[in-house]
Amino acid sequence: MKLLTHNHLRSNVRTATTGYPLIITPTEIRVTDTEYNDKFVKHVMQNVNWPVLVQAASQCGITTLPPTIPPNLTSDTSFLQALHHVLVNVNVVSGVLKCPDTGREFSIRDGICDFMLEEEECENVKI
Amino acid sequence: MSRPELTGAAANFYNDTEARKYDTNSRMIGIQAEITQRALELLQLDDSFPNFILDVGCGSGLSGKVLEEAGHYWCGLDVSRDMLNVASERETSTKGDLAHHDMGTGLPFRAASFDGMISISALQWLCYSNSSKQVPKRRLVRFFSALYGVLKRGARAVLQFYPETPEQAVLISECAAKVGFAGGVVVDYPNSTKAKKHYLVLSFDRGYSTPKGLQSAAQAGVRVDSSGSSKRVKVVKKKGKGKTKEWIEHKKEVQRKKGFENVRKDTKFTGRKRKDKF
Repeated sequence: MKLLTHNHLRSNVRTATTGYPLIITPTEIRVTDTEYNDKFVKHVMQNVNWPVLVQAASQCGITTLPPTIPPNLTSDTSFLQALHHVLVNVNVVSGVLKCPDTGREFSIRDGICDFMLEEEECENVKI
Repeated sequence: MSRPELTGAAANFYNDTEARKYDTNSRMIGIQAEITQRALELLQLDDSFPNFILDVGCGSGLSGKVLEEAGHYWCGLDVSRDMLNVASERETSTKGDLAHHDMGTGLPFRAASFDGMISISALQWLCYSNSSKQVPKRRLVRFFSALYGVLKRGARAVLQFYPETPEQAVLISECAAKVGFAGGVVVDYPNSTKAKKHYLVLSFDRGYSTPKGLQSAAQAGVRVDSSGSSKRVKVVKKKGKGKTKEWIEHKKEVQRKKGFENVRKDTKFTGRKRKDKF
């Protein structure tokens, strides 16, 4: 599971109010090497929740991210490259994600997170 | 061949052997790639930058491969762990991410996460229930309302599916219209038995009209009129017994979840019985 995905994940069990952000307890992390994609980082930046990303990175042992986004973004290529690295290259291979509201745990095995819910846990909808 | 949907849950059908067969079958690979290409075409993405796309029912990642070749990043969900295992073994995949998830239980993402959504040959599974607790219509509505939330405004969703009967196609489009989507079903090659494909194309834009299906232009597909279906819902409401306490509490809860601040507190007077005036 990439931190990019984690930044968008929330727990959608019925009892959770926001279910966001999920707390990562990693047991294995793998850092891959992928090609830097300038356009994608700039595009996805606008939608990333920065404090959540910083928190997630520190839970994975990366403390190099600044607490706020530097103002001169477009000129700072080294910052964008570092951001791309954190978003796409850092993979949580195994561990546990925990819902901040309900404490419901979602396990990660082989990089795949288990979000299977029982029918009783799902949100109610009117039909 | 009988329909696999009738044999039980998708996770049971796509077991380890079936998943591997599926992933190495050149006919399957060809068909899935072709459908994904067409779905991308219907999605009408802004191609000036790589998009972040949700793939529901990603299976062994055949559709993800096409997304990657088009330069997009994606996140795939599937109900079959065996299929996902095959997908994660794919060495070349660097832009995708996988999660084990049942589309009938909603979507585990925050609001406005994705630039677009595709689903290849998965949606029809929601029309069948595999336990007494699963109500197909409820699962469909839950899926679509979750989808409505996780897409960015202005994004579109394209879902290719194999309806068993025309009624299923209507049920699916009705559920999509109910949560507020505009759009409809595009049918490619409607006169061919094998090449015929159904694509449910959804948009936030009320004035959105679905693109034409390929080949014979005569039958363009079922048009979903979302305003019509909501009228029908209103008629049903009037017949009801009025607003119960449960109804009021549910309504307030929904408003609070949406972030409205001036929702009245729940007190002992909430939804109390009034005196009969006559």
